[in-house]
Amino acid sequence: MKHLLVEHGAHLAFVLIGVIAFVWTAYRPERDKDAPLRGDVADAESAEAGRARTTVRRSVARRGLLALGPLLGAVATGAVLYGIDVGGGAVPGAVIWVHAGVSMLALLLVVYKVADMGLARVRRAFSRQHLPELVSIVLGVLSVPILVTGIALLFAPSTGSFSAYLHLISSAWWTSLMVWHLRRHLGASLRAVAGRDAARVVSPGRGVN
Amino acid sequence: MEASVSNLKPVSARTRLRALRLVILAAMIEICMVLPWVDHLADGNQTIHFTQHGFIFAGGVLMGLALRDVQRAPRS
Repeated sequence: MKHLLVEHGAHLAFVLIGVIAFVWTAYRPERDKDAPLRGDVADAESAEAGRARTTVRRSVARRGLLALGPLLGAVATGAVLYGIDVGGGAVPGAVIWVHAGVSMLALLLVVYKVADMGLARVRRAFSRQHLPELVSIVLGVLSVPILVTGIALLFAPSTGSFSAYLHLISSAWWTSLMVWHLRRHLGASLRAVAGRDAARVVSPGRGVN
Repeated sequence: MEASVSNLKPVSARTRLRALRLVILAAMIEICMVLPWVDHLADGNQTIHFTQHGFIFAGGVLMGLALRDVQRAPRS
C-alpha cells in the first residue's frame, strides 16, 4: 500500500482533483434560482462568444511570446532528462542545471505576463463561461508543485522518490494543458503582435522597424 | 429565443449524464492501471510500463473532456 501511494500517489491525487472539479462544475447550485431562463440565455450567448475568434491584448501577446521560448526550452530539457533517465544513463549535472535555469527564466516571464493581465481577468476565469482562462489558472496552480518538487530535487536528486514522480506527472499534465492553451491563444497572439508591426510599416512619417 | 432556450434544456441534462459516465469510466481506467498486479507486470516489462502510463494519460484526457463538456453545456 505504501509502495502504491509513493509510486502512484500523484496519479491518484490528480484523479481525485479531477472528480472534485467535475462534481463542482456539474452539480454546484445556481446562484440565482429565480432566473433560470436568463441563465440559459447567458449560457447560450457565452457559447456563441466562445466560438468567436479569440483576441489577445498586444502587450499580453508580446509578453506571452517572450515567455514561449524559455517554456519550450524547459519542456525540451525536461524531456532530455526524462529520456536519459529512462535509458538508464547517469544524468549529467549540467543538463539538470540548464533545465532548472531555463525553467526559472520561463516562470519569471510567465509571472511578468500574468501581471499585465490583472487580477480582474484571473477572477473572471472562475465564472462558468471562461474555460480557457480556467485552463490558465490550472497551469498556474500546477506550477506550484512543479516548482516545489523541482527545488527539492535540486537538493536531493532522485528518480524514484515521491518528489520525482510528482514533478514528472505534474509536468506531463502541465505540458498537455500548455498545448491546449497555445492552440487557442498562439494564433491570436501572433496576429496581435504582427498587427502592431504592420501598423508601424504603414504608419505615415515613421520608418520601418 | 424561447424556442432555442427550451431546446437547450434536454441537451444540458443529457450532456451532464454523458459526462458523468465519462468521468466514471476515466476514474476506473486510472484506478485499474495503478493496481498492484498491473504495477507488478509493468515493473518487469518496459512496454507494459509505457502502455500503463499511456492509459493513465488517456484516462486524464477523458476526464478533461468530461469537464469541458459540462463547462460548455447550458444548465437546465
